Amino acid sequence: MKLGLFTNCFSNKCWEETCRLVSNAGITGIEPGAGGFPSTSHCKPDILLKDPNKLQEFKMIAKKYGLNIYGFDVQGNPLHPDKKYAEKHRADLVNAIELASKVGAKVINCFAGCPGAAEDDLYPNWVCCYYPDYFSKAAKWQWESKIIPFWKEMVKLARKYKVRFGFEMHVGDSVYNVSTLLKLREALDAEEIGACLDFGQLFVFGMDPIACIKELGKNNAIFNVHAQDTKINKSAVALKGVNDYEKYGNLNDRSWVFKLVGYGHGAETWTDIIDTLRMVGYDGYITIENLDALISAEEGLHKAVEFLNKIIFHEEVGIKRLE
Amino acid sequence: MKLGIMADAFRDRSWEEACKTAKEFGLQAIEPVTGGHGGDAHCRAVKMLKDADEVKKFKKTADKYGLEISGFSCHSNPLHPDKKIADKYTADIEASMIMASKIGVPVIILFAGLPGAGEGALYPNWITHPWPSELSKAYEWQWNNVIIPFWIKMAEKAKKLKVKFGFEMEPGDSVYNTYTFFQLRDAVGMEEISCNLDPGHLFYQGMNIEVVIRKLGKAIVHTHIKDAKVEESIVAETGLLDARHFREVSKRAWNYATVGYGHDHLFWKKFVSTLRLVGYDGVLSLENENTNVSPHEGLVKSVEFMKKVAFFEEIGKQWWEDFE
Repeated sequence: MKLGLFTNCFSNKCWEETCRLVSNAGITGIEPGAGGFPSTSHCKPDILLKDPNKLQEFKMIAKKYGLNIYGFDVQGNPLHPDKKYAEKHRADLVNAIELASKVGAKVINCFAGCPGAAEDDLYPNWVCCYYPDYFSKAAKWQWESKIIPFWKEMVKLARKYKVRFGFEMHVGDSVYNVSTLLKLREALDAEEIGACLDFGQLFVFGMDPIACIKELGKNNAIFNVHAQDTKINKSAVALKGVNDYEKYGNLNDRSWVFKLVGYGHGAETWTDIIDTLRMVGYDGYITIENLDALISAEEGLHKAVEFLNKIIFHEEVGIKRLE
Repeated sequence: MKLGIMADAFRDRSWEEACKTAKEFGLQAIEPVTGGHGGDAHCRAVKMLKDADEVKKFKKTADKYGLEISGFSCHSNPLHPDKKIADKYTADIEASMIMASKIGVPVIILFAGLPGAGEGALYPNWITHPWPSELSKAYEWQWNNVIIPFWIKMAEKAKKLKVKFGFEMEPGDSVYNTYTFFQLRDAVGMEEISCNLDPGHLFYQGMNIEVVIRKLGKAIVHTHIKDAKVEESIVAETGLLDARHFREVSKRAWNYATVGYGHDHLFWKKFVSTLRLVGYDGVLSLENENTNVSPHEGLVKSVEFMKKVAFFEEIGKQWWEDFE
């Protein structure tokens, strides 16, 4: 296992400065934002794909700091009912896939997208309950007419460029839990559809990270891991439940907030997570993501590295004593 | 407290038969459906209002069987972006209010409704998350341009007619938890915006019902007795949100349950105790939504269960009240 960083927390810094900071923290992996919702301040795939010199420079800077670019983050909404919006996010996704093949990155971290409720809808419509029946009708249409056909095309592209999709299972997206992720994977019968397992998202809705790892692991569907944490504010959940519309900035009142790894769940939880990941055969990058409003980007990175270094396994298993 | 029933459980029989059956079960109150999503089984207020005698007869039938009409049930989406649908449901609510005031029914039990995501939207859009920022914009538009103005108008009408609204907090509606309920009540600033507490919708959002009751306090004007069973082993893997059909019982993260089969006696004893603590001593209206039990057996078991749990006598004076 190795540590990496999703660079969104350094979006106000240039690519070289970001690589320097990541290298200083003593880790070897980097996962730049490349479109969709994440900032493109470190990596603009459309430009890099057109200009071989710029692409070379982008790769050399990472190399100079001993960093491996193993994935790109393009979480967006390519199924937005606004065609322009959808097209921009679709293009970001397609560009990231092509760029990944040029730099040797293996995973595209993404959202499935959230369509409207029907063909003539103007706004994305997240369906996460069944009743009244306009919701169940909308979900059926979304999956059959938008989500499955779109990802069928994307899977073809992924096969061509030899990359895989790590879906984040995020609130507000059509793929928001293990069953919706496996539904998409099974509908397309595609091994390229898997998880960018972001624990911060799972804690929110009461999921158990161990159960999720085991179920996804059974299907060889874990392609990346985002070590992000969530702190659940029990007194707020008691009143409002976990569906919390409160703005992200109102930390005190929210039912849950994103935290730096170790600040929502202790070492015991993360030790169990890392151990179970290895048990199901995941031995890849553990990506630090820092959306914590109370910690600076740099201090967050250092604290997360220190915390995870104690927990992750750095060496290969080697001889299996039990075989 | 009185034990009642939402009359939808008897949609297969006439109003008279429904009242008779309720009495045979030993119930003291009944909550007919007067419009909205529910059936036309006993009364559609917009029709019945046309005939004053019919309205009187409807009330008399309940009286004959010793039943209090605890509220009119009128669940729907009066803020549907399709104006025709919205107008139809709004008319149902208004007719239910007028009919309630004529025969002394205190509460209309309903949903706040769910608008689309903006001007020109065609479909209801439930927003539970502030990011991406287009969601925040849509949410603010829904509340400021649609939800609040609509309910200010309705609350003023309700005040004139001396009825209250009992909002049933439910996922898929704008008012789905205490936060959104108080957001509406505070914006309207009138007690007519009150609550029909149905714990069946709150368990699977992870809420603590005792905390909810204490927070709502005097805003509770009616209750539904409905249980839900949260399937921990499935929640562990798929979380609490589940859009799968109610028929997929064994796969779903939660299912509605016959009272007592999701939460045991102790939970419901604390439930009725906390209601009394905040001053609610009214009707506990059984909503008969079963999963593993036939509707009839579900009702038999629910009534038996709640008779053991609920308090039926006035508190009166306690012997320790005179202590110095």
